[in-house]
Amino acid sequence: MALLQISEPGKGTLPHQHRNAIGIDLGTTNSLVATVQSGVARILPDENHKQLIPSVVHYDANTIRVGEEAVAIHEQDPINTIASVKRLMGKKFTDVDATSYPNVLKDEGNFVGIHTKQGIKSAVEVSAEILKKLKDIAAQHIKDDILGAVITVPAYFDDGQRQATKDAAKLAGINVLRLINEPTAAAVAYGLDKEVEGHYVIFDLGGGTFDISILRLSKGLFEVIATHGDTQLGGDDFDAVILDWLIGHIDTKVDDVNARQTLKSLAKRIKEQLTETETVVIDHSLNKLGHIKAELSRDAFAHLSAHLVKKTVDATRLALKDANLLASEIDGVVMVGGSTRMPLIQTTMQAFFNQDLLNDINPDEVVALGAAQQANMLVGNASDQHLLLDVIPLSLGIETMGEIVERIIPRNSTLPIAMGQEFTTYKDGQTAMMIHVVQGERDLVGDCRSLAKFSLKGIPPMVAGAAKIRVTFQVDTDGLLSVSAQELSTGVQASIEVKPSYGLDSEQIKTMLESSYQLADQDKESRALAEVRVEALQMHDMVEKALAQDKDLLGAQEIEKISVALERLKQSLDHNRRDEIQSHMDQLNDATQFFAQLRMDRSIQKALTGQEIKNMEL
Amino acid sequence: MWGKFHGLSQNYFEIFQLPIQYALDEKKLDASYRAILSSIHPDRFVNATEAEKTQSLMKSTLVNDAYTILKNPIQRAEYLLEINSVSQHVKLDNAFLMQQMEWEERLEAEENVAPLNQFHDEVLADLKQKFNHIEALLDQEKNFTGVANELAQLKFLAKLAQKIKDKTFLLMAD
Repeated sequence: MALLQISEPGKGTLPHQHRNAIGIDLGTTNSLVATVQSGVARILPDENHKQLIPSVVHYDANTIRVGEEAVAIHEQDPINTIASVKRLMGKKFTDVDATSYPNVLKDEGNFVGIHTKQGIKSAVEVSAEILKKLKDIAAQHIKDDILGAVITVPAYFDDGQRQATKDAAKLAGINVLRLINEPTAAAVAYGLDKEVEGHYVIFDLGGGTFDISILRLSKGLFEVIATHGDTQLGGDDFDAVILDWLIGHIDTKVDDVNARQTLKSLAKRIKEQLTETETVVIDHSLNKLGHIKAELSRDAFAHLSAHLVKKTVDATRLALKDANLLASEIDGVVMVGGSTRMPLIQTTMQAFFNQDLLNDINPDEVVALGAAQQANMLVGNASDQHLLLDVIPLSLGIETMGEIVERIIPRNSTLPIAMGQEFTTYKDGQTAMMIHVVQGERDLVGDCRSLAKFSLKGIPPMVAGAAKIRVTFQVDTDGLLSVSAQELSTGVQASIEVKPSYGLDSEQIKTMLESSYQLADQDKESRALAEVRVEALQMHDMVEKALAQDKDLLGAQEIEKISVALERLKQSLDHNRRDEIQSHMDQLNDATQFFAQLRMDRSIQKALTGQEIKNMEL
Repeated sequence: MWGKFHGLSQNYFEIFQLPIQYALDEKKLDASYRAILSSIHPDRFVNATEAEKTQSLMKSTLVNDAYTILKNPIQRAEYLLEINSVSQHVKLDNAFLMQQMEWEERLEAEENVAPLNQFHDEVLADLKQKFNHIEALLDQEKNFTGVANELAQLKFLAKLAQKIKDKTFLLMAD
């Protein structure tokens, strides 16, 4: 029996009010959106009842097509159609193999520019179109407001790639509740977060990418202890194997694009049929190519694609080696990605790990379903309020003399985390300095990924070595880095200018946001005003509620300060001016900072007291 | 040296309502850590005001840092030295330096799994003894300078144990 009723902070006192949130799997080949309704996570289909939305975008002079519509026009207009845009996220031109894209790619400095009929587009903008489509699909199913989304990213995504994903969501007008790792989402879908502890392999073979991750789980703490994979291996390669085999059975030469496309589709169908039956008999008339009559068995297919399967096994071995684990020490193997349906993959992995696989959730949907469950929990719907703790996947470091990396935050540290480092000036009167932040496990700067260069400015001029600048590196729960700095002897806040090495800077994002509103100025303003009003009202209610609950923490003066700020915010709502409301929200925020801190401390005390009572009951 | 992220006058033991000593009630630490994070983690504040989000992020960061340090037996000892203002910088004595070289040579020479396992067990036994000694020095004798010396040796042993394990793993993988 519960002796104490501890209300969760930050949540309403209403008994049960369902809040809507969605989970998004933004994939290389396909994307999905899911939500939890009546306690069950389900994928939301588009108007044609399709659940898998191809991650393909087509730009015409005036229209933008996303998904199946873009796929339909792909062959016809490859230059203006972008597929696999995820591979370009947070990347610089020199990182990318431009020849593997039919599009015209240009070096835009900190990002790759994709030339389309609508001008130069970045990967962030293209991904934003996919996200908008998913958001629209969700809006067709969910009539009320959607509070936000959990979006999944590969476990190995660095800060730049995560930031790019978040930027894309911002452009699409989606409030990101949290970014979570794809393997973590898959584990949540299987309820592994409720397991006490264990080591789990997440085997993810999609259309064009292969990722293997090893997670260590202990009571809601998810550590990604190893990741491996092949960014150029997926179901498409298995199709290609069958395509070659088909071509070998045709006497005529296949040199026409359309004929090749027909054969490609046939190859894919054969592969899918082999999942259902032992042998597929092909007896097809192929117009110009004549008649094809052949038989392909599972065994023959296994033989043809042995080199591909070997690649997955080799990567699995490497991941285990990195994790310092034996196959027998794995407590479960989760299958993710449509290509894991192939019996060939199933039997190989079953034999490799010598155990039954976790494969009863649709492998195309499992990541999106897990994301939806997590989103549902974050907005406070789930009765089971367990906590999911993620870790930083790659170490953060800074460049020191001789291009050596000094590690600041080691990989696998539980998020959020912060570390401080003190720097000093090496010249008399020096007022600025540069800090280069990198991410990766290697010792040399050149072997790690450059994240950003920070210039610290406004250091008070002093003799060399006298200034002490404390730089704090904070990584939030999305795995994103922010940096702040302070000169310790004078307390001067040094300003920081961030120049991301990859991806877009905040100015570029702002320009894109502005140009993305194609509404008339007046509409734009009234929409923005409406949004800020809603926000202000919510904030007003939240602070009022907090005050009603925990007023006793404050002195009369503090209460007065907050009450005045509350009243002013309320009054400003009558004036209907956006900047005025915003400024009063900021003021209320400042006025409640100390109160929030006290409330947080009270929560800690209550949590610990609750803990003691629980122990006494045992 | 890397400084830690502070922001509270409370020390790390007090956060979890633990006595300020080396001997650790790990169950209580784990339970308190989870209880605290369950109430203040940013995941609990997705619908909150900016002020609350900021506070939640800062406090969770601090709690994570405190937990990591207390949980790790080496860092916990270092932290106790730090709050007692004792320097960790000590010179290893010659006898230990000689012993170090012998160990390194032995690791270099072993090419079989069984003797490496034996070596690993020996080092682990030494480690255990050192940990017990450190606990006695810190909690009973309050001899902090003695701890700094033991700690330096212990850190070497811990690294050695890891190196032996790495080598064993490589041999087994071949």
